[in-house]
Amino acid sequence: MGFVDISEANKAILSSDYRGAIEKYRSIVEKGVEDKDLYYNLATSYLYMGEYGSAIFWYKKSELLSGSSDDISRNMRFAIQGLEEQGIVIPSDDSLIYKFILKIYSPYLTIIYIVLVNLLFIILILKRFSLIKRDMKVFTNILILLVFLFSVYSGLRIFYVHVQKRGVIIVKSVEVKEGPSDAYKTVSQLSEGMRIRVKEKYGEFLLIEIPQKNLRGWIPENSAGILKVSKI
Amino acid sequence: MLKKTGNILLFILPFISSPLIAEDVQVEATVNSEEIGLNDTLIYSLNITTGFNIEPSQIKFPDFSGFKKISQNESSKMNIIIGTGQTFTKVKTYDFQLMPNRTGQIEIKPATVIIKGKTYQTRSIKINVLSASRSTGNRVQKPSIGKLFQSPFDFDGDDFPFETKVNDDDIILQAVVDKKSVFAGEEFVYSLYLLSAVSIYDIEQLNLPRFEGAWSEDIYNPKKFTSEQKRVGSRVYNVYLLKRKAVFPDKTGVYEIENASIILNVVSGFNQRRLTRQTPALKIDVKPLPAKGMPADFPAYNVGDYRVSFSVTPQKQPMDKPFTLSVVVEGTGNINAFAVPKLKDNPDLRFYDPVIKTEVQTDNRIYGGKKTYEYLLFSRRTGKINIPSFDVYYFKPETSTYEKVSVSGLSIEATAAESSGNIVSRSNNNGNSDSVMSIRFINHLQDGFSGLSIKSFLIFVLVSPMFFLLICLVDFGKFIYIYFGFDSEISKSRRRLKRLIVEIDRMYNKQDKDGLIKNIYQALCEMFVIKYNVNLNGMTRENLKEMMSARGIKEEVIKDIEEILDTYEFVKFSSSNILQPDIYRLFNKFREIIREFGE
Repeated sequence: MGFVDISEANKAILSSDYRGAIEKYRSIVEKGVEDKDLYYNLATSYLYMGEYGSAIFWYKKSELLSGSSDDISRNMRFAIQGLEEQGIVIPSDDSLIYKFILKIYSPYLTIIYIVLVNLLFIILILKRFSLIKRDMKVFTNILILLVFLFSVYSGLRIFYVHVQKRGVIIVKSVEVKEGPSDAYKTVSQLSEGMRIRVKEKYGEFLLIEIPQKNLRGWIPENSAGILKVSKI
Repeated sequence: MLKKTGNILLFILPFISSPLIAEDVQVEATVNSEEIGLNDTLIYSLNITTGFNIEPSQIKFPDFSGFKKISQNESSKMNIIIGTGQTFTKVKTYDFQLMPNRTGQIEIKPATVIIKGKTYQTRSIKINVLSASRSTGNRVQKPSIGKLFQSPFDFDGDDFPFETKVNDDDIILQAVVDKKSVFAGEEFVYSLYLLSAVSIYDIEQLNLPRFEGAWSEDIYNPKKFTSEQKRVGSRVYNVYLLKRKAVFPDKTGVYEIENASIILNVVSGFNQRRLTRQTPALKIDVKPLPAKGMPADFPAYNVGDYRVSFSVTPQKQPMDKPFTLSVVVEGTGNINAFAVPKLKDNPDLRFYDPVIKTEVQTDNRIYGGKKTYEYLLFSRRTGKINIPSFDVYYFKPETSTYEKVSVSGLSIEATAAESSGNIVSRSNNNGNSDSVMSIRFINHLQDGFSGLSIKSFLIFVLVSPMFFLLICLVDFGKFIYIYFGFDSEISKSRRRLKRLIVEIDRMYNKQDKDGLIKNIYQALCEMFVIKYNVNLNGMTRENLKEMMSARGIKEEVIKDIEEILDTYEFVKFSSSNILQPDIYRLFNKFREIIREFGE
């Protein structure tokens, strides 16, 4: 990532120049910088601007990189309250497992997992060649258990974050079409902040689904932000 | 040996290479300029390009009428081009340095060269000789790109370097410091000069001291060197300033500056000479900062001559808007390392780490500049709030005193927050007042670990499992090979023997006498199959003994084997207990047999 200076953007937001701050943070994001604090600050700028959908989207992205935190939960609650004041109710589509995964996330977990897996297999390899004479049954069994638990956790995180594409509506309102074009019939309308699952992309349209509403249809790509990060 | 090989190669090279030698002959005449002044010098070059072992039989140079011949030089070089068509060429160059006798157009007639009976001729060259010298103008306009120094050929005819010998004192590398004694953290200036009484062609390498144990900053770092003439003793030198640095030593005692060295090429006659020069190491006395009057936690690099100013803007505004406290440090010294103490906590104020901006300003000798600390302050209540005072200290070497600037007497006045369209605070479901958590005030996103990418994760996590899987696949292959009986009887026996040896150790530890003797007998049987392809079960004792003797097995080993066989038969048929020492003896005998058989 290198050494990225965000002091000018920070100064802008603290001087109540939220639009200027958003532009400055976005310019850093567009350079490919992926950072939890950068996303958090960008989300807060949107929150101050009253753009709640974008605020929720960037808080969610920050959460994917840092795990749940009090300041994110608290500010997201403000964004949701702001939407509720406009008559928009945001149902939570986060399952308990997903919430749990975000709650316990730390980037160091992956490192621990890598070390444990490799240690386990190194022990197995050494045993295979009779290079370990000592009986290490208890240690090996504990290691197997830990590796199993971490494998389940990593598998779920990969599934929820990298396989199951989630998104957030970031425009005030968007029509859901029957097909990937404006010419198709409108089947529903979504407001900003709504959580969606992205199934497919065709041209400039996304096939989305909201399981709670039993809704499936196409929306323009630029009306939603996809919650995707490169880090596991 | 090498000499001999070299001679052989020299002998055979023309024969090997003759089909590859370029047959092209080129004869070309060139001049350094087609328009010169009456007092300028013209370089006329005749280049003859031939194959490897081809020499011109005759060369007829032009008569150079209208010119005075100053000097003549001859050089040759060999080109070897390695590729699909390997070629060897030799270029012979004759250089003439000429000075015109008159103004106007002078024609240099063609040169004629005869090679292998063929005559080659160059073009005639017309030179326009002006009354005024052109070289002065040229020299100003012609700073050759990529060369740090003027080309020797840019010199006037009168100045042209004819020296053919370079003495030690013709080129001097000299390092100079402006102070012999400094305080720790105080600036001294290190300058590196090159003094030259001959023409410098280029610098190949310049090695500067590393200045370990000190903070050093460039204050003069030229991309192109310029010189001024100075008399040193009885000689006049062109003096080039190569480098100038501001150095701030941080350790007390004798600070030694390593020597600097230079490798450069100078012009000597028509040739270049490569020279190396080195400066001696220099020593500086670094005194500790005086203990008397030193404030507690004094920052070691706050040494220099500074001015400190401070202000807060605006002085009055709503409490949800930030106030900016600016502390500006300006002066000479190591401004990059200058430190200002942290703001003290105040229950009425919320503040963040300062945004620091440093503008370095240097003249030719002094390092310094301006450093600005901008603190954003938020009021936690309305009304007048005093900003906590703090002191900025620095040490002034000129007076050897500690100077103090108090940042104090500043206050702000916060009014009630203006209502805006943005959420700043609201009531939560419990009716309690709640506010938005502001940004995470991190000014620099650093390189710290923030997680692995999914690709890296998969690669790292699968390293040893993949290796293990590979081993399993090999084992599985082996298993299939054995399971379908592709291996020989001997390898089967060897495997069985390995298992039996492990089993014998186990039986011995368990003191299982029957099991032990049975396994030892089985192991002996397998050993005989492996070694002699003989089945013990089908043999009488006499046959066995005869066979063992015939195979050269030692008498003692034969006796041991017989004893084991006897014991086995005894156990098998009598089922009587064997005494403990017998097991021990049997076990040892078996191990000796194993060793003897090399299994």
